[in-house]
Amino acid sequence: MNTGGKEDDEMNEILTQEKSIYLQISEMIENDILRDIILEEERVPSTNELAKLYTINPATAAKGVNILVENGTLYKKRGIGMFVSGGAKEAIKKRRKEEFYDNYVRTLIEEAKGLGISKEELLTMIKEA
Amino acid sequence: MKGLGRNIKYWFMYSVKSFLLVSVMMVAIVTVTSFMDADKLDLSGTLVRTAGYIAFSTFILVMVNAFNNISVCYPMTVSLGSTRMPSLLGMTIAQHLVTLIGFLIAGTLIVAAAPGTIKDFLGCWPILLALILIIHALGGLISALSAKFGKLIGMILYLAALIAVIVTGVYFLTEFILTKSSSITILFDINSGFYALIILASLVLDALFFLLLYAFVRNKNIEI
Amino acid sequence: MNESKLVCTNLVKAYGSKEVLHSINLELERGKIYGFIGRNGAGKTTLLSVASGQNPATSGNITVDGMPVWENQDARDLICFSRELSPMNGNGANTTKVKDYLKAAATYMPNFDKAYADELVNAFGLDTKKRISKLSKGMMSMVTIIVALASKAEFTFLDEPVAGLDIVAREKFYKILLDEFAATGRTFVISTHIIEEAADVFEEVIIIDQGNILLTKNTNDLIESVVHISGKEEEIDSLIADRTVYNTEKIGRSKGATIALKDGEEELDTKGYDVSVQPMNLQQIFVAMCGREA
Repeated sequence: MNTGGKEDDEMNEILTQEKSIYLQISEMIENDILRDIILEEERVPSTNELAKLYTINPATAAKGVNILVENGTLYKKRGIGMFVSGGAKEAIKKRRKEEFYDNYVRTLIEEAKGLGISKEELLTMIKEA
Repeated sequence: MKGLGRNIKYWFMYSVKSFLLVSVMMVAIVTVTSFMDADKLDLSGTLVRTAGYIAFSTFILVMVNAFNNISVCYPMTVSLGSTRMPSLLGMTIAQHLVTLIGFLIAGTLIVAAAPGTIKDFLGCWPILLALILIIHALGGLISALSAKFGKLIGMILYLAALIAVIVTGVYFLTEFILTKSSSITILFDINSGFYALIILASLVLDALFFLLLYAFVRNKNIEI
Repeated sequence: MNESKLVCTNLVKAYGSKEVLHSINLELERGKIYGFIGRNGAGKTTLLSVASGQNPATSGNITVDGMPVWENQDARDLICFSRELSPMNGNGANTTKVKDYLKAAATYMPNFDKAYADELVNAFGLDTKKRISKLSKGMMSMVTIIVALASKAEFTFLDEPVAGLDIVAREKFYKILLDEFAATGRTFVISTHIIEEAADVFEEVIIIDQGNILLTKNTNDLIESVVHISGKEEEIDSLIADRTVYNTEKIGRSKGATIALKDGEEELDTKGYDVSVQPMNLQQIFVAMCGREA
């Protein structure tokens, strides 16, 4: 979707099959906030714009946006749209740090265990990475 | 009845289109053949023959459409959102209207050809009315039976009716009016009571076969 | 905004002595796009034709906005069922021209938007002077789509609208559909065999199998509630013992199973088991539910 200018960098990820669409939508918005593609106090694309962009049902897009409204990343300005809250970037980083263990470390350890890699070997691998 | 208006509009447009196609073709044939046959142009004869053929084509139309309307057009109207009774009513009303218009055109041509006959012509309106009703009753019967029993029955009945119409219709009307045979005056002498009976009977048949058609197609599944 | 619905209650449809729809109960709400999926012969077209009032039910009720649908023009004006067109009709080849068909649609559908129909004709590059019998399958689908969208009906049913369309045309259709939905919030019910690419467009999915509605569920919720697990046969058997199982496969010592999560269960607890747990997409779920050999 080439609309020229700033929009070129936004939302250019595509949807994958591995995760629920609405989760991908909220993650994509978070990624864009982390990358300073959308700044704090700026408007994020509306539900209808997202639905059109990804050819998905607006209700699904709304569900993804709602997650971010509920955890405070976005707030609503009546009649205008959804905006990024102040401090959202830091909040996202903090939340992802907390989720890091569950999302990545646990899987790493389980996989290593299944292959018989010891914790010491694992630590060496990490140090040399 | 909700939905009747749109059905009358649609079916009337459709019937007029059909009628024009058939009658223009017939008139063209008549005009060309009469130019080819006569040394000098027999205008009044041509006009009368044209009138006869126009009247004839209204009959043909009713027969031809009896099957087509109910098996193609009517299902399409239901599929596009029409309820069933208004569509059937619209179909019947439009057909009657077009036949009437056809007759009026034919009548105008006859009167133009032989202005003196206008009184005779107006005088035999009961026959014409009865004919219109009987022909539509026949068409209704063909529609009803072909809807219930299939295309083959419809085709057989159509052919039978066509033969009957050819034998009694055009020949009777045009030849008798042209030659002013004595038989025609007999028709005018018959008392009005007899005619009232004939008109009533054909009206009843027309309505009856319409209701029969409705009964047969009311719950029939539309597949297209 | 109206909260009214299209409701089917204990709907039964039989052709002669053969019952093809068995006591269907279904509620369609305003403002949703429903996906309607089922195998060939499951009863999709029959259900749509009866629910829209085109054909009579054998028994049961269908109402829209509280009004019975059968032979009620006010009710039927709220619903549009745009069927798959056929090159044949009751009398041989369908010689109706596309433009005449659209004109008829405009006459019969009180809210028909002629300008929008023309826009779509151009967008699809359709030649409206062509006769329906001379159209390719793709073009016939386009006509079906145009009538459905331009009808502006509150409840619009499309029966296999993308049959015959290539992938580019299908993508175009989904975009046009979503645009119209965003603009009007009309309810759409779309039956399709090409499930996975349309899954993202459906807010809810209705699955029909052999004349019964298996489920009507929010698409996301359905997808999140079904998982596929695989591992050693004994472990799998133990895990699935008290669950709804849609399908199982076996190769050697390994076994796979498609199971439903329990109510309230967000994730499958596989502690103590060595099994793989994978999400399934809508198509896979459908095949697991309805794919058994007849």
